[in-house]
Amino acid sequence: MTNYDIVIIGGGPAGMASAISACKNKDSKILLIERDQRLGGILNQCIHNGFGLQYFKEELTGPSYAQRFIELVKEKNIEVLLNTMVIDVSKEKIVTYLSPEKGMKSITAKAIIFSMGCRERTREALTIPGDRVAGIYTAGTAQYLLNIEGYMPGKEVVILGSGDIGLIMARRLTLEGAKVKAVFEIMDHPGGLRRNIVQCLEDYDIPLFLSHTVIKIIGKNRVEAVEVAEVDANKQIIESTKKIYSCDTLLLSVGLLPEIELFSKLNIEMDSCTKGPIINNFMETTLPKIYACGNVAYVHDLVDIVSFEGKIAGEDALKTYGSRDYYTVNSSKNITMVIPQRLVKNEYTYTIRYRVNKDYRKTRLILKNERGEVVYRANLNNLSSAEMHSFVLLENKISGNKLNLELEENLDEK
Amino acid sequence: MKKYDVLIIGAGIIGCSLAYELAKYDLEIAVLEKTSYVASGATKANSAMLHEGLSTKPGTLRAKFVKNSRKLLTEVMDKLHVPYKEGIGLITVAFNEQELELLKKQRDDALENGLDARILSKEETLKLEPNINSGIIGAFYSKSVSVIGPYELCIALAENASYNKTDFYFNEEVISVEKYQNRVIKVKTKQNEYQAKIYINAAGLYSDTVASFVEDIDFRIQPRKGEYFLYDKKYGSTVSHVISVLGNGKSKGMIVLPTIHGNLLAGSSAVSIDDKEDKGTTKETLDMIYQEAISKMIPSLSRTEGVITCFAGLRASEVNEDYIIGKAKTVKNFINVAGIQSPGLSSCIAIARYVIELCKQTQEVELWNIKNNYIAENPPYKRIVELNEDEANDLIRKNADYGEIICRCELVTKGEIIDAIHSIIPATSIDAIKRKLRCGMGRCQGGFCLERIIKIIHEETGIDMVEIRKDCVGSNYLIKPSKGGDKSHD
Ligand SMILES: Cc1cc2nc3c(=O)[nH]c(=O)nc-3n(C[C@H](O)[C@H](O)[C@H](O)COP(=O)(O)OP(=O)(O)OC[C@H]3O[C@@H](n4cnc5c(N)ncnc54)[C@H](O)[C@@H]3O)c2cc1C
Ligand SMILES: Cc1cc2nc3c(=O)[nH]c(=O)nc-3n(C[C@H](O)[C@H](O)[C@H](O)COP(=O)(O)OP(=O)(O)OC[C@H]3O[C@@H](n4cnc5c(N)ncnc54)[C@H](O)[C@@H]3O)c2cc1C
Repeated sequence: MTNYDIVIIGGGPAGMASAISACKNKDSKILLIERDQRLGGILNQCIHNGFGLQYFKEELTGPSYAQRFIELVKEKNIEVLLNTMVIDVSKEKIVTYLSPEKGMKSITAKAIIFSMGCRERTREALTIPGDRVAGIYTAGTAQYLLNIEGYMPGKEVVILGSGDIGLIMARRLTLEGAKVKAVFEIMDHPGGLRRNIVQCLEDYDIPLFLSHTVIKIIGKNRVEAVEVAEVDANKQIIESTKKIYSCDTLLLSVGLLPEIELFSKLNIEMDSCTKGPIINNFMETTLPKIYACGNVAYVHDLVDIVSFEGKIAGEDALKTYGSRDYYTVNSSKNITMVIPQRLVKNEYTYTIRYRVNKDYRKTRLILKNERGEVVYRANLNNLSSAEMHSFVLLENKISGNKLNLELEENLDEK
Repeated sequence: MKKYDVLIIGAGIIGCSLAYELAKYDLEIAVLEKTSYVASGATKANSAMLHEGLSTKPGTLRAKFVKNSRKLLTEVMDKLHVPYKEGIGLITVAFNEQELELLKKQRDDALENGLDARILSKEETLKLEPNINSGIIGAFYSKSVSVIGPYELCIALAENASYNKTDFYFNEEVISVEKYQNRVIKVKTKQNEYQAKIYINAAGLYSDTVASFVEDIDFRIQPRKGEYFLYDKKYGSTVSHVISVLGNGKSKGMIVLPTIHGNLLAGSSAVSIDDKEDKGTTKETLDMIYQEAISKMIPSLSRTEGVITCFAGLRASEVNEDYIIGKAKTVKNFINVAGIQSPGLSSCIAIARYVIELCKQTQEVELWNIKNNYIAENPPYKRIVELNEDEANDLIRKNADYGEIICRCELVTKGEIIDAIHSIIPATSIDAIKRKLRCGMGRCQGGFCLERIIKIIHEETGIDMVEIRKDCVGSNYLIKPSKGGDKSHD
């Protein structure tokens, strides 16, 4: 069996960034495995603008953002296997892959970086009842059909969920001549970025109904209609608001889930908020020398952060270190997720990222230790639930070992 | 026009068992099916249990044919290399004394029917199944229940019949028959006509409709819907037996069981409906199943988390709740096999053998000689990812498509998909490939592989991309090439 120092699984922006930073050490043997025919991951199908403002300080399309990393991977002569799917990873860090050229093969690694990205939640994950017919697509599938295969998935479209991919597809489909009848969102605020609401819906007169959801899919062979209803504050359906919308296509943009199945049998500790593994500030999971970065760790809205984190994982995978001591970070009260969940001690500064449950005009973020003492506090204005937020924590401010992040209610409502 | 000896209408488990049994003889056989593949009706959406009649009423045909079904069916499944979970056993839990009394009665009935059965204490039950609700007070236990792969079995039966020269015709819905004197002389579909000496109606839910093409009938199929939850393989080991609860009036007993693929299946309701095409799930019923079966039996299971799909199956129950198996009243050569509701899967081989006796009795076909070159077994089949490295590499060296994963949840390769498209019963719709290979049955439900499979079908068969369907006419996925789209596929 061939031995590698680092095997990186998934050649999207996360995997490429970690491969590039890991090959700083010329002697180390690195392998990047990608199941698609090209590197780039999900970026290849995001032909819109909006990538790279933080990392490159300019606005790029998905493919051109990816291309910059692909060039570096080439330049550094990193060993890449394309068209190769990893089908098994064992506790002993044996990686088994399958490819048309190499067949089925196992290799060993000293460190593994998982960077498999995420997948879309389906109708099934939401358990939308009704008929099981053709014409129901996740937004990403529709995007692939249209942008990569060049086929229209439908003529009259209803979109459930106001995530960014759904918004972008509303515009794409409209430009291609489809009628996008409406976008329904179960929450009382949009899931996607404000600029996408304006540029993808408002500019094309596509109505967005908040606090609405699809409650039934109707059709014999293909979707013929969907039943929609308004929901109350507890997301319960308001019976009197039920309404039927005829359409031949239902697009779902109802969230992404980390692609964690490959390591589900490794007993890596998971976070029920992020649906990904628990990681430390080097993107290392609870198993030493096994890393997770990019969307497999938690779903990102900006690729720039994915690239930053990939870099950190690659560097750490090269290092040798003894045992690590940790501070832990949990969250409660209005915080829906916090990353990383573990901080390696003696690192001076940490970037803590979090999401909040709704939009806030004026609020206060508080990090406390297990004794209830405040470790960090910040007054914040205009905190949006559509984006991830962050702050830098200095280690010399930390007391105790178990930290918990919380957010006060809207201060001007009190 | 070719004249067949026997023509079967419907390619569910009953039609395919008939084809399988008939194909042993030196006869010309055809099967007409209105959808794009086998196992499209009740055979694809059911509880998958092989049992010997734990709750069938004595004296009925249902009770008669289910006797010894376990031995009969396991023999066939072994020959055809179909996977099943033999004798995993049934545990029906009781939450109060009243339920326990009912279960004791069930035990007595089962023993009387020659089945093994006993009552378990709470402790014994929880020892066997630690994830069961600890609020139970005891349980009924019988080892004589297996779990099978209903459509895998149906496909294997059909393929074996095909190896033995049975002709299958898909997308052919029988819409009328022509009679001459006291015989049916042909059946008609929208596009074609077919002739045979004997006709067998195995049209499931529509067996009353098809029977009524021949004569006035005195039976009626009333669909009874059963809805299900299917959980991700991660939850497959939550239980290791079939777990069930007693019904409450609104439902019969409901079950949670591990499928042969390691998923967890939970259901089902039993609601009489009028529309035979209504295979939709409803929120009310799913809520009911979750509350009264799933969460009651296994409190750790969530209503949404880990659920990869919900679906419904329609039981073709005749209003008198028994099978209608026999010759039509006014013609000599038409046999109805109607109202085959539960336990139709378990009984399929016994029913088929009985129907062959009826065929013989018609004397429409004289010679019933066993085929000389009868092929008793299907070639054993192993998925690529189940092979060891050497076996896999032997295949991949010869054909690189076996190294290319298309369905990433179920790990199915391009080579396997191409094989299915060109297999003895060609799988050329998305549903057919799904049933044959499980593509799209995993946790992403085809989100990733759908478009790739559409393209492979196109490349292998030349069917236009926009004409590739989920199943029947009208279930197309793609509308047209996009404005900027690549038209070079055509
Ligand atoms: C539709 C859409 C629009 C977006 N818009 C923006 C935007 O406007 N601006 C912005 O900054 N960000 C945007 N993002 C976010 C950004 O694209 C992602 O955060 C980023 O691409 C995630 O990178 P990744 O490397 O973690 O995952 P991915 O890009 O998904 O890469 C994962 C890679 O792993 C491979 N892989 C998975 N499993 C295996 C396996 N078993 N074996 C081998 N290979 C495997 C996959 O094929 C894939 O190439 C968008 C995302 C989407 C989905
Ligand atoms: C919810 C549920 C749970 C069940 N659980 C169990 C169980 O645990 N154990 C068990 O043993 N049994 C069980 N069953 C019963 C079992 O599934 C059925 O008895 C069996 O599948 C019936 O097979 P069939 O071939 O008669 O019908 P089907 O599978 O419905 O096949 C009939 C076929 O005929 C075709 N057809 C109809 N009309 C025409 C036409 N005009 N021309 C051409 N083709 C036509 C249809 O398309 C279909 O493919 C269950 C059934 C259901 C619905």
